[in-house]
Amino acid sequence: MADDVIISADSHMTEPPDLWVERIDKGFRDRAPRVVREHQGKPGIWFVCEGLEPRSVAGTFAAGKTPEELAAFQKVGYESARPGGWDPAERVKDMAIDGVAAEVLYTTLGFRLFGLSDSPFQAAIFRAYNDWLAEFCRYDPRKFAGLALISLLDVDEGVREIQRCARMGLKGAMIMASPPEERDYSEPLYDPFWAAAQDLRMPLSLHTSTGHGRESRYNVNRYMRAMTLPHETQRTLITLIFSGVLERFPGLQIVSAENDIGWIAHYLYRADFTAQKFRYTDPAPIKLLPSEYFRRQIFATFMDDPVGISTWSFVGGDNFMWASDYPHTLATWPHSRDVIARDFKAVPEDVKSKMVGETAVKLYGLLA
Amino acid sequence: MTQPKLISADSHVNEPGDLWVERIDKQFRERAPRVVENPPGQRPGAYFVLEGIPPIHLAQGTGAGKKPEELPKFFQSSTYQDRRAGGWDPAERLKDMDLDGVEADVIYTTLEFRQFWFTDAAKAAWPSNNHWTATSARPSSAMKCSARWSC
Repeated sequence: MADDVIISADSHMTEPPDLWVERIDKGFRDRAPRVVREHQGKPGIWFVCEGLEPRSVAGTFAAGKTPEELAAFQKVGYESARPGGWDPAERVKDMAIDGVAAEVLYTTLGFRLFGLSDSPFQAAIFRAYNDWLAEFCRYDPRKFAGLALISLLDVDEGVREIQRCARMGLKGAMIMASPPEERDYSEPLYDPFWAAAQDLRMPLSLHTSTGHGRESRYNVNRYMRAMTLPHETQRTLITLIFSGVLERFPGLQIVSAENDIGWIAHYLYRADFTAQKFRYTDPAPIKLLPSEYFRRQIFATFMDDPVGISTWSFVGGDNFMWASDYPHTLATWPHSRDVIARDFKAVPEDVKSKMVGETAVKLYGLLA
Repeated sequence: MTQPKLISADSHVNEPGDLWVERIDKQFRERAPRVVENPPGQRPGAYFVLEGIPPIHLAQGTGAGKKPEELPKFFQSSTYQDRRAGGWDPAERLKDMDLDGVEADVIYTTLEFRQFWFTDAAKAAWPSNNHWTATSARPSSAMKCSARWSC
């Protein structure tokens, strides 16, 4: 891989407003999630789905907007979005503007759909998205690693769908960042799915805002939400490590997406300390230290986190992956290379190369 | 060169098990939180008993200095009174601080943690603990305590 190649390990799609109305199984068409202009008298463009609070969509494609421009941008529609969100040819042009060679593609409107509790409905929504995403990625599989949406409210359905998505060329999968309380990820009922993901070498992503916890809801204070976003993934990683899931499935790979990385060094220090202190009073079904499972099986994406980058030597340089978050509001696009140059000044070149590209290339088979 | 002073900015008392039974306002005395050894239906050990919630095992509040392999037996076999007296006896506390080379402690509660959940009885209990902590920190035998403890 050339020295100056950068890969975004977490970029996003802008789903067409009629994606589900057009593609969902006929039995669900009347209930299909959709984008509407004005909602209950509120101006703007809204994504609505039964059982979920409506979400304003403008902020999902505001990459490159300054803070002072954002307020007015909240009212715009898809005509103001960059077509790279749904058009692969336009996407490649925007990547060239930013100097990004390849991208790992996450959903946007799918975030809150992970909060649905109607299993067949959620599975049908996800299948329609996965079909559309696979078509997008076929434009250039070297540059696009698409991540499927997998419903785990019915684990057998999840197994079938991740196998189908692997056959369609998708490279990994998103699962709910935190499950409903009564279906904790420590439960053996998930084992067939962990085994399938392991066999398929499909990394499973826990992206911010995709859980059943309160942190994933949009109808809460913006600042409280912004500051607590990583909590769901932090809880889930505790479960996956201490309940022995990563011990029993040593080839399973987990990705923490858009949860920043500055907390990870301390989190692992505390996890190791706790595991050692209470290994006799409350023995966990694990053989390694929590930090060893992390280094072996867990990866984490970040965009603009200079504090986190400075901790690379505590965690190891093999697990952090830079991302642009294009086309979302927090994106580094179109200044990604400036951000990287600023934030990686004190990082050795070989470690930097891994964090801005090599690790993502290996994990998802990009540029091959 | 003298060693720099060490000051612990977060240490704890282990309140006597009968602190609230002895000191709480009379109308709350029957409901007073208390420490009970080996209550029925629980695994062995000392428990803090408060009305309205299950007994709280007092495992981690007293295990300073114990190795991981010593903790299971310590949690299950020792009584509350067997634990380090520095938790409630200021003269003993000063000895333990000397063992650790600590010059002064900022003292937090232990048993009151869960009482922040409560509305009436807990609030009545707080003055008892405040008074006890303040008087414990001023033993006549160790005048330096008032300078070494911040309550």
